[in-house]
Amino acid sequence: MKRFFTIVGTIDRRIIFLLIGLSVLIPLIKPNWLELPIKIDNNTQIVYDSISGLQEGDKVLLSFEYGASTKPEVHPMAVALLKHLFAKGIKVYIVSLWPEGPIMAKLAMDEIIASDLFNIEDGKDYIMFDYKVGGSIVIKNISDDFRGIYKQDYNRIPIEQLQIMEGVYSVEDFDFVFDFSAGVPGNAEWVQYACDPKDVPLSSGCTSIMVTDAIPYVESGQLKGILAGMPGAAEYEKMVYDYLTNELTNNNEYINENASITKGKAFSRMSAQSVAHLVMVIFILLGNLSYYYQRKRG
Amino acid sequence: MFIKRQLAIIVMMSMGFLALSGYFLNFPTLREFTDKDAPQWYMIIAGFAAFLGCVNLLQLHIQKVAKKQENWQYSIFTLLGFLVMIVFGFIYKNVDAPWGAHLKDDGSAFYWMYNFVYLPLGSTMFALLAFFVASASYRAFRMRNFEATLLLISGVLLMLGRVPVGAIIPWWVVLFMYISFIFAIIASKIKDKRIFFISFLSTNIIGLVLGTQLKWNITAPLFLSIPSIQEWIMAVPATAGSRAIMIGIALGILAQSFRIITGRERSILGD
Repeated sequence: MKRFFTIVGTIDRRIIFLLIGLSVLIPLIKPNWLELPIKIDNNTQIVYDSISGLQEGDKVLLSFEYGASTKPEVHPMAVALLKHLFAKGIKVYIVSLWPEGPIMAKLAMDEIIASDLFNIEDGKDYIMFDYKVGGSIVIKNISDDFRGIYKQDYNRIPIEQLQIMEGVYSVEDFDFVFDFSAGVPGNAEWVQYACDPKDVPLSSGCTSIMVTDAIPYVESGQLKGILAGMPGAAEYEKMVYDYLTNELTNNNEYINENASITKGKAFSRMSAQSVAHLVMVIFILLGNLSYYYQRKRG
Repeated sequence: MFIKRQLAIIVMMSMGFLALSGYFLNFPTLREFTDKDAPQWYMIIAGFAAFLGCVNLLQLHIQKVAKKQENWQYSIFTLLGFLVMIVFGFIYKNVDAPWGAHLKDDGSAFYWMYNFVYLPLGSTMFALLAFFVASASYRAFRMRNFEATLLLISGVLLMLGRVPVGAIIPWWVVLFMYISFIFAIIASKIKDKRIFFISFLSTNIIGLVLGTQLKWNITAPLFLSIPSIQEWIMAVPATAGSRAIMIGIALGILAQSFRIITGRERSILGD
């Protein structure tokens, strides 16, 4: 036993890499081998309830602040949230504070359009804006004078010509703001410069690593819940999937009858993350037992 | 010299005072400046700063290759990537869309490069973290002292609590973890190994019997559910720690801003 733990203590890191690789790869290739029940986190439930509380025709501002590196974690929640909003007949306004934001937003919208779930029209049901440089200053400008910085939409159409822009002048004209965040500027800047001073409800979806920074805002109520990393995305996807399935049977006018509702990507990735976390915990335990025996041996 | 130093300090101080006074004086012209004009200026300057950043990066890597500094071979790839994206962004677009709009066009070479080269590479780089975190946690998460043990336990609980597998861990496993933790603390007080082992075993048995009697196998109390423990760690100790850091940062920003506005902080001038 002692010998075993001594060997474990000197294990080559490439073996750890290989085992972690396999523990991620196998559940990704064969997700059906391990289907685990998803428990809904309290913060995810708050986000879902906040969005569910919005009414048909309400205006929601979405801010895309993530890029290629964080796409696997944040993108699934963006797609799930868009589905939830369109199913409720809510008007969506998309801005980007990261250079890659517009492409991420376009990829998310392309996915929604390709799913054929909703009969949505650009400029009528949703609108996208280009990237604006300046980070938190752009948020400050959106807060005070939206039309001062956004003169035209993503397709270069002047906003005065777009029906969806009627009555939109500042952040106060939105019923809800949602921020997809993977760094700075992110949800903290939205709290500080726009939503808290103007008393507009705000929620956020961010990478797991950012949750610790954002959680004080959640606890104080400045953020209405939070979608925390891939688990948060998977939980939200599950709730939206159940909602859409239910609404389809209730003949929701915004959902196409013949469309097929699918679970999102984060949902299928949770098995891989579960196994990877479990393997890491096992390694930590083995490492500590080995450390104990080594210390005992002196 | 005057332009580089004194004038820069005068501009810095006057702009600092102007921006600050906008929050305290109800003077419409001043408010117009701080709320609208100054942020617009910032956005324009930030746009130029991004351009300067690109030029600087290019210069840095060209110098590295020219002087064959350490790891100069990697700089060739950076320069190649730079060049390719410049060509697809400014010279060759592959679609009929106007310049600028082609960046968002599905058929453009730029979009293709982003979607099929940069995007997978970016995700791969981030995914590599999983391997490094696994290797690092295996070597670094050691029960060296009380603080390290606390960090280890909370780390493990967060890792398990955030994923579905945490929810299926039964209550008796968590109870065993609690008892083990308590006995790890009092282990040094009990000299006789036999007594220690018997009391550890009997405490576990009592816990199991008690749990079964209280029907914890049907509805486990929150303190025996790993996802609930994880939620508590995030809501209480993690929030307290984050708030302390945030208050510290805010005080630091306040002090630094005061130094800048009063002209005491000159590091931004290159000192």
